[in-house]
Amino acid sequence: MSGGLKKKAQSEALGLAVVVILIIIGITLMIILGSGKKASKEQENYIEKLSSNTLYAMLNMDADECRVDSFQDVIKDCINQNNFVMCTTIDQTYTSCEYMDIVINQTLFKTIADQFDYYMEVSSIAMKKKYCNYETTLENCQDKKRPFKRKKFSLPAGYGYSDDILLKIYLP
Amino acid sequence: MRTNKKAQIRLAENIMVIIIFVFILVFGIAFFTVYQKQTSGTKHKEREEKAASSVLAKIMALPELKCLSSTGQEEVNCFDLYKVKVLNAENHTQPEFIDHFYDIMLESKVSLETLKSEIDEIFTIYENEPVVKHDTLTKKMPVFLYDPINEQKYYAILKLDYYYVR
Repeated sequence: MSGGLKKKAQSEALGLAVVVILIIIGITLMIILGSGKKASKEQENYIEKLSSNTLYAMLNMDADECRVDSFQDVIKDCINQNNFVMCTTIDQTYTSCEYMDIVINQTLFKTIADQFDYYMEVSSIAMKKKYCNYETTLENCQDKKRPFKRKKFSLPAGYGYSDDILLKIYLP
Repeated sequence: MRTNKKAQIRLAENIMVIIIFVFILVFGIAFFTVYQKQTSGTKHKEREEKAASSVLAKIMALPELKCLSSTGQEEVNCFDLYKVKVLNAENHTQPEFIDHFYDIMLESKVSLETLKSEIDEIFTIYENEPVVKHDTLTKKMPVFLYDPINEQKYYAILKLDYYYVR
């Protein structure tokens, strides 16, 4: 092998080594920095508890304006499209679905919105309603697919097969 | 002359190796420092998150707040409206009051907000803000606020502002 060719081969090998080293460093950096952004176990537990408590408290709170036992009955009336329940506040009368929209939006907004983005579904075989905080109007939420991959919590509101309603909250 | 040229090439090779070695070394040190700082910061925040969650869990189980069922059993995630009102009326800056709850609530502010228009109010349960500026971790947890006289269950949000040193 001539001297010039040897020199060229050496410098090319050196260049290749530099490129390989830089790639290895880049990959390591990506892996380490990427893993750092994961939510801690403590945060996961908190999100789990927050979503389950929100649903539990929401389902069992009183809804005096609607003359029913609990808010659960308002949800059932709306989702099963019975339209038996009417809710009267100081200034207005609402259908069960209108009242449900107001209460769920207000509750989720006050409980979760300042900490996380949320997406919630209330559904039965007959109907599905969606609530989220990253769209300016409720109507826009209805067209949305759930943005977060993980289902956080769901609870059947009905006790029989006929009126089983599923409530799901999705958080990041 | 030929030997001189060979030696020059060797020297250039050595210099290149040293430059790359120094580059990797400097990069490694810088990366390790940043990573170490980030890890210790994350660990510290996780520790404080854990402490705040523990405080929140203790408050949720506090007999001074919990409501009792008709059989005398404590109800889950339920606070008695009148017990809350009693704590709200206390002088929160009084050292005796802070001492009584310090082991449970440490340096924090605990409040309860209702969403019902009849009792739309923010109740302060405990307030012990440190004099020196601290960071704050906020946690919220929905609970029932039960009025045993009128037998009403309200949706309420327990809010914990937990103060910690960064």
